Amino acid sequence: MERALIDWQALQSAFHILGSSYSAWLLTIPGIALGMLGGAIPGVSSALILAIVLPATLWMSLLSALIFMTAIYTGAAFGVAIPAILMGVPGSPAAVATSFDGYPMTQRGEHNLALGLALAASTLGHMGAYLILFLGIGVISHAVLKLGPVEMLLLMLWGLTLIAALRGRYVSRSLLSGLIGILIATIGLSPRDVIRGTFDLPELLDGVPVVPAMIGLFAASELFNLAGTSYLVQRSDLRTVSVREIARGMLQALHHPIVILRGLIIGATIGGLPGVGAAVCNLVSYAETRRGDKHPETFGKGNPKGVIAAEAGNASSEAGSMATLLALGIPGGASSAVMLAALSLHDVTSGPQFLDASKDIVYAIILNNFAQGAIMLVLGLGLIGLMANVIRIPVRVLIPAILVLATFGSYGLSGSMSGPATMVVFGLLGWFMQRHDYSVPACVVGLILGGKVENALLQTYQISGGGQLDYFAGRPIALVLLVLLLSSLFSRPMLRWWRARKPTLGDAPQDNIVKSI
Amino acid sequence: MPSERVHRTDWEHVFFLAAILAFLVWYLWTATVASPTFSNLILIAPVGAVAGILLLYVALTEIFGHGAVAKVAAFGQAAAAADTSPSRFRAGSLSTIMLLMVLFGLFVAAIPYFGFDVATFFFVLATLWLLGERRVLFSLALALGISVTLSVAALTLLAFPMPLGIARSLWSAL
Repeated sequence: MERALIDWQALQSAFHILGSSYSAWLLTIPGIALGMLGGAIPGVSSALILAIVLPATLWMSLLSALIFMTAIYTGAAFGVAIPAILMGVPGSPAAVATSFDGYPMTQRGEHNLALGLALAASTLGHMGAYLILFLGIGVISHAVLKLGPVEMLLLMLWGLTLIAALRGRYVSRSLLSGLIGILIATIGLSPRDVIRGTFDLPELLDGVPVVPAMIGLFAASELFNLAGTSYLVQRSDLRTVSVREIARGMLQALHHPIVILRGLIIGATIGGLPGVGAAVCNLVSYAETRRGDKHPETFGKGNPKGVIAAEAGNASSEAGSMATLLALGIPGGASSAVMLAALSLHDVTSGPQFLDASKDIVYAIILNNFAQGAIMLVLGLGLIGLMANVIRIPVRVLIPAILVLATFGSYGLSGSMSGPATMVVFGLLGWFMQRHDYSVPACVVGLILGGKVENALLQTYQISGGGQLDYFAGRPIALVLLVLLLSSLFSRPMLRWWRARKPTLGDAPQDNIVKSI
Repeated sequence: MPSERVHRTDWEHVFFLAAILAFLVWYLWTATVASPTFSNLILIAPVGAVAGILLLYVALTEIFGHGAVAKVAAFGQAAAAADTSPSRFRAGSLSTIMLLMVLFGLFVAAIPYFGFDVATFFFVLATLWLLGERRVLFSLALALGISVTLSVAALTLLAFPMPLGIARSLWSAL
């Protein structure tokens, strides 16, 4: 049956609901601010903040509760970028790729610009992805249902290809880091109930806690390195906080619409896949932008496009996961799982029936999220101006404060001393890796995706009857994803090889002219 | 350049590689002993094999020269990129870094015994002193401020009881 793209009657009703619900609007601003501030604390994820406020939503109406929670989600999606840019400490896996270029920009004294780029990319990514959700919630939810383990495996592999791109000075060492990260991710109880490498510690049965390990690898190791320096930004003349520069960064982001568009499409689609989440969107968006750029070697050294791509991918994943949550009742990640709990507190079961019966509420949430984007832009400008002052704090004060805060955050995440202990071990590992030119980000990518890849690989192997190729022939989406993956990996080197092999007659004299000049 | 021919093995790097190799061998061995099935080793075995080959390659180049030569050759470029690369070593002396690591390890180890509040207070104080802060009142105020703020957060926000020394009893008394 042909269905209209937009249900105008439900949309009209959504405007009416939003117009008469003052409490929903009153909760939007504190929600964004709470998410932004919470997300800026390393180790405090949006899921943790949402879990803390969950009991309070019981006293709110369904719409107010959902709007408050999506506002926190929106704020946190940008908040995690702030420490990633200013200190090289991604507050959550969703901001890992943001730190790759954001932190080098800070070290060059371009922190204001980087924050502006991130804020604009985050806002535009968020609003754009909700626009996609607005236009195609039915189609998205239908498409997500068609994706099986093989498609998930291909998407994970897409994320893992970033390991090769995150090379430092030595390709072999960077690949080794990524592979070690994958192996560490498989520690614990396997998908086939085999206990591997736990040292008989019950805390490791669920695997190595990823966020504390990531904080250790990035934050603790970097803080150890900073011991003995005076400030994060060495030159005093660059140690300024300028709202004007932040605004300039926001405008500069608008010069890269393709990067933002690519990020928001990746975020809105991949973000909708259960269990994938913002971290993969952040990494894939970054990897694709780097791969498609004329100067991929400038990424990781403070290329503004890296910050824009990472943030657009991260922020837009919220809309994707909301689509899966509302249309199918499946949480895309930890944050949407808490939202699912909020729905059940209101005796609501999300899924196709909810979508059909309460389309006005779904539209109201989407419309409010457009407004959230605009509010975040204004609020973010004020708050990041305030938070950017961190670069004026002497390093000798920052080091103990952040180490203690990260220890607190990792305890809060794991609920036991396993979190802080993991952070110490990985902090030391990260320091030695940096000292000998091993890529820490590659190891983190392996750590985030390793377990998921193993799961998807096993499921694919079983479903395909032991790797029968005809199974793959009957999965058109998998074939499309495979072609996309291979083309994103090999199109540029092939093109370069082709050009090098067959120089056209027209090019040669031009080259000579250029060389002679 | 004659310096490009000089090869000096970085033994610290070799020991680091030996530690990774030990982990790799131990992990593959325990995983295989736990269950030598295809489904258990579907990812671990190929990844471990490739990692082992890469590790041997890096170790050999480090010991026999290619790594060192490449390092010397790349030194010029690396020095130029030093101010932009996030992974570059800073001015911090090795002894300060090592002491900071020891302090951090002791801090985390002390939490279950003395509580997060007490451990935080002394860790912040000791780290400030190590990193060159000599204003006693400022150091005491900062250590106390961080400890109190995070203890209150632990008491009010965390769903799990965090080990606390005196903060919990003080909080109940209030």
